[in-house]
Amino acid sequence: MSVALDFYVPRDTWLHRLDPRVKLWEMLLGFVTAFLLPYWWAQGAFLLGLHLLLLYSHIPWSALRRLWRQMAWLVGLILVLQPFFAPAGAVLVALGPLRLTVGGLIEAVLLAARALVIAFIIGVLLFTTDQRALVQAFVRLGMPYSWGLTFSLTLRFLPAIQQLFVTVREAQAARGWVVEGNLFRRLRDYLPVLVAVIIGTLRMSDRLTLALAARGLASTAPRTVWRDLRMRPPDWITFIVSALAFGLLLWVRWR
Amino acid sequence: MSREVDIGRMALIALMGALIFVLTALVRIPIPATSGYVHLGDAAITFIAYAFGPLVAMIAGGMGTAMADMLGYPQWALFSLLIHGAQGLAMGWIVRKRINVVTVLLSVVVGTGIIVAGYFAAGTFLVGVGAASLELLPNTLQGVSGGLIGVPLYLAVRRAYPPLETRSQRAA
Amino acid sequence: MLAVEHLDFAYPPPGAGLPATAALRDVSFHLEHGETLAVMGASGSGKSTLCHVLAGLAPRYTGGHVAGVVRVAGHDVLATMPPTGAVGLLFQDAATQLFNPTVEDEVAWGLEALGTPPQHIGAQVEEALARFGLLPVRAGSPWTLSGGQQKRLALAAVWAMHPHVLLLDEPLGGLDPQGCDEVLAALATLHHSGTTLLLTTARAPAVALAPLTLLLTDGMATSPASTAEVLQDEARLVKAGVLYPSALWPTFEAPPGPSSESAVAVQDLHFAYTDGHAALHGVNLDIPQGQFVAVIGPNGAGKSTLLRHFNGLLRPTRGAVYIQGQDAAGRPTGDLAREVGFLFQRPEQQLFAATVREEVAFGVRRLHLADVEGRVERALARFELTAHAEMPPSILSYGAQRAVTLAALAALDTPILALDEPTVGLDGCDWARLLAWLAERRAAGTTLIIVTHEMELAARADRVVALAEGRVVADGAPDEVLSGPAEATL
Ligand SMILES: Nc1ncnc2c1ncn2[C@@H]1O[C@H](COP(=O)(O)OP(=O)(O)OP(=O)(O)O)[C@@H](O)[C@H]1O
Ligand SMILES: Nc1ncnc2c1ncn2[C@@H]1O[C@H](COP(=O)(O)OP(=O)(O)OP(=O)(O)O)[C@@H](O)[C@H]1O
Ligand SMILES: [Mg+2]
Ligand SMILES: [Mg+2]
Repeated sequence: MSVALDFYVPRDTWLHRLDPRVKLWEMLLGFVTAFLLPYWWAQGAFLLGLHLLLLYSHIPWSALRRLWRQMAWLVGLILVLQPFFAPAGAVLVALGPLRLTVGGLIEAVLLAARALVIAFIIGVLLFTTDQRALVQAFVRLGMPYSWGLTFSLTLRFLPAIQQLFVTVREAQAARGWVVEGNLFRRLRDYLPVLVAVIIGTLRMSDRLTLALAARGLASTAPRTVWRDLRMRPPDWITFIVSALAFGLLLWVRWR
Repeated sequence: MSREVDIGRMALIALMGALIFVLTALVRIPIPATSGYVHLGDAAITFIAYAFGPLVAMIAGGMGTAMADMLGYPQWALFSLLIHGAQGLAMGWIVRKRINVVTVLLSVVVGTGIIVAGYFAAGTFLVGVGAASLELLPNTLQGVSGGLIGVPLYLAVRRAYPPLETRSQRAA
Repeated sequence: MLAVEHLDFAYPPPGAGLPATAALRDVSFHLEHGETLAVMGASGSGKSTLCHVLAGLAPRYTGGHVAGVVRVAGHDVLATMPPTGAVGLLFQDAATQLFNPTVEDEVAWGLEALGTPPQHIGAQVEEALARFGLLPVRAGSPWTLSGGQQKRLALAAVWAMHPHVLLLDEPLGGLDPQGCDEVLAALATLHHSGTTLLLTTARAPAVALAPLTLLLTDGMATSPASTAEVLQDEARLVKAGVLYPSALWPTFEAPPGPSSESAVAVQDLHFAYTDGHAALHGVNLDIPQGQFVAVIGPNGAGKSTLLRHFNGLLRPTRGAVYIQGQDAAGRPTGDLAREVGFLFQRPEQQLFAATVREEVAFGVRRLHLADVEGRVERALARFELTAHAEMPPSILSYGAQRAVTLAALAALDTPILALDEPTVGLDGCDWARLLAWLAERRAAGTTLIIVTHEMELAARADRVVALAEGRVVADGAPDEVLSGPAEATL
């Protein structure tokens, strides 16, 4: 099992080329919209739209299926539990104090669809934006460069630390290490592995410090940026159109 | 020191974030008799709070867990960022001056409290009270076990790796 | 170009009440523009420390105490950090040095830090990638590259910044033979293009590029002398721990009563990784007790995959593995550890205990073996660790840490030892210690199974098993296998 965090599906489509700052803006609007619309059918339509958008951007079915699989448990849980917590309207089935109602069911479907919408909005961003562009978007929006770099470094070292963990666990298993017993004993069995992994990680951080310093991170001269983000006309148009659409939505909703 | 980046701290935060991520996403210890599991992410946050103080624990804790969420539960990421950030900050702040029975207990109780309450509130918002209340017990177990393993972990690393002390002073 | 005078450096004490580590003592040398100097020294002699001091990183980012003079192109390095890019450093662990999402970004990063105008960066990145043969992988991510490619990328990234001096810390360290060739070729072009180079190495062969060599022993340096001269004085190199010529190796005497009972038997072993990659296709092998077997083969042949089946780290997809006549299926690794002692590469990573004694006792206690005290004491004494018994292993020198890992293994006293490329990254002293112990175990009747790229070591075995593409392609006495046609593929 690998924990590498890379969702990007490299393709050359309109959505892939869209400036990531605009994508972040769209994402924000998407979240607000999802929470403003208390209609299950609106959420359903939204979800369908997101699917079409992803497929139009050449994101393979397998990626969408993975997202669905990840969400399956949560969606199931909401559908099973929520109806009983928010009873409203006609009672369908009564089980002692528990009442399954039409209103409760609709509420559950709404919540489940909303959870899916949020997951797919995030999916749209991550499937179509490479890591460098995403970090650079935040930097251009005012985040200090060192924060962006910290985030990239964390991503970069995930496989390294995973490898370290696996290596240490195997090496200790080869010396008789096993995990057994009740929960607390199992947790405690992990101590020797964790200690070795932490020492290794701290050493790695020492080496990383030197590597960053050696390449000039401490330099006070201003950094330049190769292949910086640039808002092109399509980016501006998308930005403005989505803002107008959102305004329209607000107007329709609260007119 | 003042305005320029503190490279050492930055590297430390990045790697501690990655450590939390890996221990959250990779190590799942099944809870016997239920279908749930406990991960070691909170143990890592506890260790970091004790070893490197509130600032490093807050940033690494929030960032590491939020990124781990992206792997399977992306809609929780923002809440994890806030909840585990707060957890790291509070635990680190409580033990920043002295580590004794009182501060240790307090830090574990407060840390667990933040997780349980935080995820319940976030869950109510995201998935409704029903699904959220189902997570109360596992989250308590998760928080308590994080403390139960994180504190001995800190003590063990300190004994096995004496340079930790000097590093702690530099990072805090 | 580079002037070092009476340089002393000591790391800060690792903990309260512990002494500081003097890593460099009174080191002096000069390096003119376009010259190449090799620094040879055993593990822990201070090679990396020297590079870090010359690059202005130590004590600035490590803490510690420094005295003396270091000048790079007239710049006083100890007083202020040299200008960005003035000193290029290829770190010993090149993988840590690479931290960007793609190969191109890696090279561009340093140029961005230099403030190079964005419109010029593209061309410079291209030039550096072309120079080190990395254009085909330009969009890939650095940490999926092979070891040799990673070193070349790290080299490209520092070279692109046009340093006055390039410091290369063990440029060939930890590489397989193919990676070595790649990096050597890259270094040769640098050498010919007139770059000022300083390279460190723990093993003799790597210095051929440098006309001048300096020998570092425990932080003390000789003055640079002609490389040919230095290499001639074999006795001195042995003493400095950089050489362990096979003439000095122990003889691997066969145990007195050869046994016909099987130690490890593998029947029709097939294995595929979870990603579907089939690594072993029907391996059959029967290793009797007390035999010394060397497993050889090119990269990716499946040597490590095979070895990992012997203590259950991997389980057959098809076929079976028998340890001491018993089926290994169903026995966890932690239990097979009673029979099979396993030595990994870079074993010092697994150290965790608060004292050397606890570290050595860990496995013995875990396996509930009898006579914990006695086993631990004997192992400590065998590896001359008794004096360090109460110290945390994490603060010992590299050599002592490796000794601890061997002691931990020795204390288990397993009838079978499986070692996966145990000699990679070892200096002369470590080699000597390892081989002496192996010879001892062999004389005592332990079954030895060693995966290695060192043909001289393989030649000492009773039997050599050559793997290629997941199959046994040759199996027999060393003189048959090592001279046979299979060797051409290694
Ligand atoms: N960060 C550190 N803190 C304290 N001591 C250190 C540190 N790094 C190295 N040392 C010690 O300083 C000495 C020189 O180490 P250095 O890493 O320079 O050796 P080296 O010649 O590069 O060895 P190797 O071949 O193993 O890389 C060793 O005794 C080592 O234990
Ligand atoms: N964890 C893994 N997942 C998938 N494939 C793997 C994994 N580990 C190794 N492989 C593949 O299995 C094959 C055999 O690898 P193995 O590590 O056994 O080779 P090796 O003979 O030990 O090589 P080397 O000399 O490089 O150590 C290789 O093609 C390798 O890429
Ligand atoms: Mg070194
Ligand atoms: Mg191998």
